[in-house]
Amino acid sequence: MTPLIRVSFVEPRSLYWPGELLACRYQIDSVDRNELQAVEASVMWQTEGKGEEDMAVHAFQRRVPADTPDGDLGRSSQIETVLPNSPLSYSGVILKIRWRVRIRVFYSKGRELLADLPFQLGDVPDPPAPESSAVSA
Amino acid sequence: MFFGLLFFLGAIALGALLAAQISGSTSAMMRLGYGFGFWVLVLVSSSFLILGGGGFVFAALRVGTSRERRSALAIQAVNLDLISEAIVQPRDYPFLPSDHDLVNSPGIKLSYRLPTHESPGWRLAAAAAFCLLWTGIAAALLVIAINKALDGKIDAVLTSIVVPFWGVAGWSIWFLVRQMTSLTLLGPTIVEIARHRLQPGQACEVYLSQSGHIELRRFALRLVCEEEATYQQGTDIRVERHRVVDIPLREEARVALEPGQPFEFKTNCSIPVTAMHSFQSSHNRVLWSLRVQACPEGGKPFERSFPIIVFPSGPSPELAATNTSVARPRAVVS
Repeated sequence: MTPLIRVSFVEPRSLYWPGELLACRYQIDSVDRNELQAVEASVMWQTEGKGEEDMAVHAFQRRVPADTPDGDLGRSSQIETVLPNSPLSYSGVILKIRWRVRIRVFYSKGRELLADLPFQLGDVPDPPAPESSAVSA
Repeated sequence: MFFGLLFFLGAIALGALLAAQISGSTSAMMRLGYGFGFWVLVLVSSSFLILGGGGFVFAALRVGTSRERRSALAIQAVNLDLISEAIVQPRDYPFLPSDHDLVNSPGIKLSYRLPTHESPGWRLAAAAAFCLLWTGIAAALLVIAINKALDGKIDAVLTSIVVPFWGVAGWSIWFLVRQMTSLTLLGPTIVEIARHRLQPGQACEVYLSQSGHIELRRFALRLVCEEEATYQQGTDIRVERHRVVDIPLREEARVALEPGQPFEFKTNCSIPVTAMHSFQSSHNRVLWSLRVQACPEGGKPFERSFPIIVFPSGPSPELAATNTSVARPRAVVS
């Protein structure tokens, strides 16, 4: 059976500011609790666009059955962190920076499942439409 | 798989080699003694064993470890005091370029003197080294060819090599002279700013001084922001840049530079309120700079770039009012 990941912000909004506390709740359903091996929660950013993808994790939490009193990783849990000053979310022409909360579930036979909950850090508007690009080797 | 195979091959080769030596095998292939050949084989098979074993252990460690966990561990390592002291970047602003070169260089007219992005001296040194080396080789070939010709033996192959060699040597001399001319006629450019930690919506005073001994058809100072993406295409690494902000700060139609009388001015520079801050990661960057562009009379246009760092706007007004402190990346691994 494939697990179902429920993930949501404690405060239901998607725009956050540097220095704010981001709290996110997550829960794993539809799976036998014995099948869950580990659950990881990350608050991270990733680049998208023309360049190779870069990413960095701002806050990270990994739980294994031994970390919970009853060994049930499916129960509702929470990750919270104070957001950094930079980098802010950005939708540029050849570079985009996306912030997200990522829940990654490791379950039976080495299988993994992940769910992303995007949010925006800061409110940098999109730059104007493309004019020119230069490529060099 | 690859590393496992390498480890397996190394283990078998080393085992067979040692077993043959110990048992005193009579096979011609195995009779190496303890000479040079034996130790070369030991070295090769041992390197297979070590590389394969190391790679296998590394691959095994990566299995079941997510990208986020590896990134978190890397950030945790960076946050160790010793390492974080070695990495220069504004500590409260992760993934902004280092401002070290900016803050340690005070200006004369304004607070900060901007370091230039590229040093023309290096280009001149490279051109001079290439010119000397190439012209030396071409001259040696020419002397050999002349000596042969004087002996009455004209070497057609050598002559056909000398001609293109001197073509390239001529070009390298011309290029070197041009570099020296442009460097001596167009002196150093000094750019200073009154304020550091500029944020979108803020303005600051800029001072520029251009010395030299040349007539310029056009001279401009611009505020530029570029997105830069590095990617691999086949075996090439390509860098693509896209200009998202280009604001002229000052433009002059004709400027005559005289020795001892630099062309200098002060102007104001405003960072657009809607702009993105500076950003730097492994393959992607947002670069802000002040660009000096000039077009010498009868010469090739040139551009000098002076990077500046634009910091993100502060936290929301509500947070600023409560004076909440902001966080560095924590990446707490539990």
